[in-house]
Amino acid sequence: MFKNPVVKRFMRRKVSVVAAVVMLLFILTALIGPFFCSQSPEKQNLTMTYAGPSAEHWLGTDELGRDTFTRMVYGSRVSLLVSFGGVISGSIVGILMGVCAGYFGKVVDTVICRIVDILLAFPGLLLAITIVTILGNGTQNTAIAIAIFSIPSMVRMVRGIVISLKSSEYIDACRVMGASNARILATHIIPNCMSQIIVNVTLNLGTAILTASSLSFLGLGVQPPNPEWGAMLSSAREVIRTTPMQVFVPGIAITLVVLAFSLVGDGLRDALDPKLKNS
Amino acid sequence: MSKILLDVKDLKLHYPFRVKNAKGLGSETRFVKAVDGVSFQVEEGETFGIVGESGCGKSTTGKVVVRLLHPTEGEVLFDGKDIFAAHSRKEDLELCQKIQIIFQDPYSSLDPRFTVERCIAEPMVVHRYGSAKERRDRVLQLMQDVGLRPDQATRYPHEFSGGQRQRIGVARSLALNPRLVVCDEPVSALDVSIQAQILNLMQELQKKYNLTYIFISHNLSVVKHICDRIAVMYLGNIVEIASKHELFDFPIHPYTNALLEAIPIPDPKIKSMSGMLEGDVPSPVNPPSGCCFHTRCKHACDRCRQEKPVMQELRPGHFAACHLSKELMDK
Repeated sequence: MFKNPVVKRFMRRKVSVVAAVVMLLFILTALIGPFFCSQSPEKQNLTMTYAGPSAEHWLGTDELGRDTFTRMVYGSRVSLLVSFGGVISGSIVGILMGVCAGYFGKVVDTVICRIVDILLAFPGLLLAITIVTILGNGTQNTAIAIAIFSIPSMVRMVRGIVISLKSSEYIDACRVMGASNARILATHIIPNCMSQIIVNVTLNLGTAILTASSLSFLGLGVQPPNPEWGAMLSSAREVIRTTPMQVFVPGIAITLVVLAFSLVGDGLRDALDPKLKNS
Repeated sequence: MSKILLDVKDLKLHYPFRVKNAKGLGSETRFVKAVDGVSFQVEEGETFGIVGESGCGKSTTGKVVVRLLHPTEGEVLFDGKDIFAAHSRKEDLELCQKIQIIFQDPYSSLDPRFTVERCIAEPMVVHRYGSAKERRDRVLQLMQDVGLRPDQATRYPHEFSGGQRQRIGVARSLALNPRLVVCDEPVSALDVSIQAQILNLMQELQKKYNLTYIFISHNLSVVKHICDRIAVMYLGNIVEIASKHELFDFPIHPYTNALLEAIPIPDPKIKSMSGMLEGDVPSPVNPPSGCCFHTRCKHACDRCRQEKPVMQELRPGHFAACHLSKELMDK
């Protein structure tokens, strides 16, 4: 059914396939979901606060009578934008740093590795909080915090692969034919790192969604009235005893999505493992 | 004597490394003397062999010739010009075009993500040779030359066997019409049956394109098959240079003798263990004084331990570096 061996190996692991479906549903919701919502996520109705699920409000309403379902759909868009934007821009910087460190070695390597060590010395969330505190709240700054947060692991991984690739004979062959460093990096080294980079990005995306939600839960990330899962969880926390529904909805959504991204990442890592290439 | 294409003069390559002092305080820099004063000349159109045990510096010498490594001392003249002198990008590319290399391992010398066509065309792309159509035609021509079918052009390296991959490597090294090809153990990683095919292919191509080869190998029978002149290396030094027949029929240096005696004879009744070498190759960090071979040489005398022998022409075109060469020749 699937000719590509990588796809075939990925399909063999059912958990990853289910996770991939969940992940795609989430992405699809974020992309086109808002077009199907009849209500505005910010429309308040103070006569109907903390309502239970009904035909009009599928998942009930929050403290200001806003429709939770609509807010969840719009919130997925914010989460997606922040985490994808942050992880992808952070990864690009990370890849460039890692490639330079691994390929040029010596002083360049030492300087880049020390910078990465500094970033790694802080616990992840603490680093994100520090960055947001310095830059200020908001969607864009949350994305920047996530970008910086995802640089170190990317640099470490890419550097390692580049060091092992650099010594292969086909790179020597390129030097003998007079290819420039830029050409060797662009046509041989980066494409050969790509499978591991994809895995790392997928795994980082899960963490990024969690970090973005944590930041807004703490009131540091995306600011109200923008709908965001972490912020929704935070405001619903006060009524956890009376209307637990308001906590469960964003909580379960965050759990599911982070789990889905992690499982897809694991699946991809196994499917792309070069050691299994011939099996 | 035909024209000298490559002239290597007193080439030295020392790798520095740091070791802790005996007292454990501070560190000092020492050197691995991978190549320690090698001189030889390669004539246009010949196949020049370099043989020796692993770690004797033969591959290092080859990599210096293609400028993958920079020598610590000495110079390499190609067509009378120093290949390590300051160059513009244009001169640099010109040299790259003229001196190419065939690698030992056909599995790691091809990018797994490149099709055969892209692999062979790559040097031409780097050198901006011709249009896409001209490059494609040349790739097909080269593939035919090395015995690959045109329909294999779109396949990936992992779909080929070792011998076929080595053919791709040969085609790539010929793409720019080089004059000198350094062959760094091109057949050591292949099955014996495939080795002969590749060697014959290389000889055919040499005739067709008027190539000069530097053929590096540890396999004496392979070298005997393909080379015109042979240099024997030991511990970063050349101990003997002679034409193939001279070297195999009248070896002078005790090390060459020992190597030749170590060639297995396919007859269980003949037991030739008389010339077996004993002991190990000394460390290139701390090579023996005098003649580097004296620690394992059964003829070694005091002079060998103190004075480094120089290369002498003992017979026409036959050079050896041994103090006792005259006595050994008379035996």
